Amino acid sequence: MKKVFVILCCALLCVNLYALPFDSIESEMKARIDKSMKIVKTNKDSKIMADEIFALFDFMFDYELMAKLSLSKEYNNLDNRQKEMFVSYYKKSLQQNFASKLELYKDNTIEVVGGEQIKENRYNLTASIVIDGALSYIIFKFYPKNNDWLIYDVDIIGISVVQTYRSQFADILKSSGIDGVFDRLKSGELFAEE
Amino acid sequence: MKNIISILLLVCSLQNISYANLNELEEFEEEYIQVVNDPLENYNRFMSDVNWQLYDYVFSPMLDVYNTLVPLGFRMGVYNFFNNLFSPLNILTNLLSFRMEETYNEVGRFALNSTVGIFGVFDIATSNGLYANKSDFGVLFGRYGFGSGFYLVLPILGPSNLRDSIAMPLDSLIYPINYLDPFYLSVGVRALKEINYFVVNKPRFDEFRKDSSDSYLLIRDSYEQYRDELIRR
Repeated sequence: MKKVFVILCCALLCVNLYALPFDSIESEMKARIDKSMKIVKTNKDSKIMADEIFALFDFMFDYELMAKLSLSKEYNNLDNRQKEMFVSYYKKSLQQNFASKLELYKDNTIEVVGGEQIKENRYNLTASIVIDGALSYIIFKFYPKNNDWLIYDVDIIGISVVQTYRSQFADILKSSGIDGVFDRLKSGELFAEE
Repeated sequence: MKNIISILLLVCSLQNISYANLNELEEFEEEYIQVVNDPLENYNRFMSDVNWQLYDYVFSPMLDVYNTLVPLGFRMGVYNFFNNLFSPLNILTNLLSFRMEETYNEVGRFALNSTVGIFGVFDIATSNGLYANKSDFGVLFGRYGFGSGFYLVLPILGPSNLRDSIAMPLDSLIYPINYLDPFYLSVGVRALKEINYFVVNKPRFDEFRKDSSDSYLLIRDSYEQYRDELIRR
C-alpha cells in the first residue's frame, strides 16, 4: 500500500512538473523563449541546438492533435498502429524543419509581446521577431486539455504550420492515397534531411 | 442489476466523450477552411517550373559568383539602400489605409536612414526601434475589401494573385529607381537590386524549397497567408 502511495505521489509530481496552467502560459513561454535564445547564441551544431530547444518546449505541444489536424478527416481512417506511426513521423518532420531553420534565424531575437484569450477555449500568445527591419510575429496557439493548455499550431509571419502541412497532405492523398503520405514521410521528403 | 446500470453509465459517459471529441475536432477543422482560388493551376505549375529552372540554371550560379566576389558588408549595404527606397511606397499606402502610427513610424524611419544612415546604406532605424511597416497597393486594395482574386505565378517575378498583379504597376510608380534616366541605367540598377536581394535571401529560398514535397503548394499557400497577414495587421 505504501509503495502504491509513493508511486501515486511520484506520478502526481510528474504531472505537475509538465503541466501548463492557464495563468502561467505567458511567464513559462517567456522564460523558455529566453532560454532558447541563450542556446542559440552558443553557436553549437544546429541539430544539437534544435534538440535542446525542443526539450524545453516538448511538453507544451500536442503533436497528436497537430498531426490529426494536418491530415484532416483522413486521420480517422487510420488504424491505431498507423496513427502512432503517423504522429511519430510528423513530430520528426517538425523537428527537422525547425533544426534547418535555426541557422537562418539564429541572429534574430524573439520576444514575447503578450497573450490574448480569443475565446473560452483558445489562447494566442504572440512573440515578435525582427526580419529585414520589419517587426514580424509568431503566434503560438493554445487550447485547454485536461486542465493544461497545449499548443496545437504556430503561425509564423501569418503562415500556419498546420495549414501548410494540410495542403501538402491533401494533395498527396488525392494523387497517391495514405500510402503516398507515409512514403513521403518515411523518405524524408516532407522535411529537410541532414 | 447494479452491474447493468454501471455498464450503461459507462457507455453513456464514453459516448459523451466521443461526442465531445467530435465537436472539438469540428471546431478545430473550422479554423482551417482555407481554400486558395487556383483555377489556373496547370499554367501556374508550368510557370513555377520555368521559374525554378531559370533559378537553378541561370540565376543560382550567377548569384554564387556575385556572393563570392562581393563582400558581405557591401551586399548588406546595397540591400539596405534598396530597402530604404521602398519607404515612400510604405508611407503612401499606410497613409491611404489611415494607419497613422505606421505612417509616422515609416516617415521617421525613412528620414533617419536616409540621413544618419547615409542614403539608407546603414539601417540605423531598426536598431533604434523604428521598424519597417511593409505595405503596397496590393495590401491597400486588400484593406479596402478587394479579394485576392485567383493565384497567379508571374514569369521571373514568381508568386502573385490577380489583385497584387493589377496593383504592381502602381507600386512601380512610387519606386524611385524607375525614374532613372536613361532607361538602360534604370534597368541596370534594378538588375543589381534583384540580384542582391536574391543573394541575401538565397539560403531562405533554398531552405523553403527543400522543406516540401511540393514546393508549388507550399509557396502558393504561404504567399496567400502572408499577404492576408499584411492586410489584417
